[in-house]
Amino acid sequence: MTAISDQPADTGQTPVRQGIIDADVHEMIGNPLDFAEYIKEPWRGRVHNDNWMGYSIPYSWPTTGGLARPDARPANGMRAGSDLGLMQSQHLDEFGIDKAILTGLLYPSEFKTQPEFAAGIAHAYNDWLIDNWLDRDPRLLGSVCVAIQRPEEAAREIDRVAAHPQIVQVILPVVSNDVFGREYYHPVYAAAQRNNLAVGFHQGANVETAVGLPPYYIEWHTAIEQAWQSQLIGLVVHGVFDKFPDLRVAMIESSWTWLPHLMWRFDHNYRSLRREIPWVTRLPSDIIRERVKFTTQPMELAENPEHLLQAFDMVGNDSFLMFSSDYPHWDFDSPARALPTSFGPELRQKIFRDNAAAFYGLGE
Amino acid sequence: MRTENSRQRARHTVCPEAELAPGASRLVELGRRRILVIRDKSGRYHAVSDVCAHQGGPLHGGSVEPMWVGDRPGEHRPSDTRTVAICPWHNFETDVETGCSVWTPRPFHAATYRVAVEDGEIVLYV
Repeated sequence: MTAISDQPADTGQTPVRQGIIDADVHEMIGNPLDFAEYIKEPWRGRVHNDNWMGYSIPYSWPTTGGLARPDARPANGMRAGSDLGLMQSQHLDEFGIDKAILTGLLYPSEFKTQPEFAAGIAHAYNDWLIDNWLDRDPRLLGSVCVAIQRPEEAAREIDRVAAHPQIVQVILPVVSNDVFGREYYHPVYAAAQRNNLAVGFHQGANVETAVGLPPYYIEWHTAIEQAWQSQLIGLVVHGVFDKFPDLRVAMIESSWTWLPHLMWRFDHNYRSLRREIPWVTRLPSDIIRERVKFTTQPMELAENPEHLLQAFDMVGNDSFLMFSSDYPHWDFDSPARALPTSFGPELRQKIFRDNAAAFYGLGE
Repeated sequence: MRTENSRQRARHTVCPEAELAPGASRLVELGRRRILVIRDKSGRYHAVSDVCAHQGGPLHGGSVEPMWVGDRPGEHRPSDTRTVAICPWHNFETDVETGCSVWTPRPFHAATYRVAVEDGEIVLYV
């Protein structure tokens, strides 16, 4: 067991009281054969090194280390993020991370084929997550992996693992081929609510932009925030927040500076077109402001840092944003350097800890 | 239309009651002021500024109908109690009883006026 540092976290400025909560840390599968041990039949027998490769982003990598920081790759040559010891020394200990929300990156909800297989992989992933990560470091908090295309089975899977004290969230990918707010998927939100779990939306491997898969990675990586926007709009329009009044939602790695635009445009359209969705009884911006949180990474590098500060006024509060590093991926944000100088000590405390502590129900 | 000045508000006769069927509305112009007089489907009378509180669109050019409500996703049910005027510009909905737009919070407000039936005639107090 790793000792938890009681030193204040170093964020380059005022220390964060009680340590940082990092809302996006990726634990990754190292040796696929080790993971396969957790898969039950008949699905285990269908996984071979040469016939099921999992899913990956459909671009080559114009980066120094592919998906991840090259310095985060463990000595055994396995994937970055697969070695707990390295994660502890390189990230948790280094930056005084008090709690890290693990978000994985294998999301069976985006499998477009064989839904029963997807559910089997989700089941295995959760057992692997608990054994290899949550039970080995109390700083790590887990996200339940589900196959939402089988909503009732996904709900049962949430019920199965939610009792683990370090499970705090259900994780879903922002897909481009469906709206997860639709009533068909509501059993998943019902399960999250009854188990007092948040629902986090993170990008998966299959997400596309409004023009599908553009030729270059930079086009895709810049435009995929459209998928979070579409899923967020869908959650409101399909009445998820009205139907599940205690549900909490996090948009993870979505970027966040687009939020004022979306709230204004969404409200304007609601004023005009409310008749189409009369079961939604409040302005969308109010629902979002009250129920949805966002994460910092990838932190925009505004030429005038004051402009980023103004975004809080436009959104209407400073409680919607939670720090995230995206460790160990290539666009990781350092806790010591990511936030702009325009963010004062009180705001930094909220972003680095207090907002996430309140959202995930992490006691002081 | 006849106009009589009372102590506080001017009384305007709009039309005989029989000329305004349930569900119908009539534009009343008093100088530069435009007022939409409405008899909703249940027979109740309302009078609201014809100038939409959003961008000034003419409410009489849109529609007056029961407000659509729903208790669960996919449900569309006409309200038994609320009638809205829907502006032809942008389709913003104004509750004809209160003059408020129907969304919450922070609704827009339009002026409303007292309307009554007296001796078989619809009268408006402005």
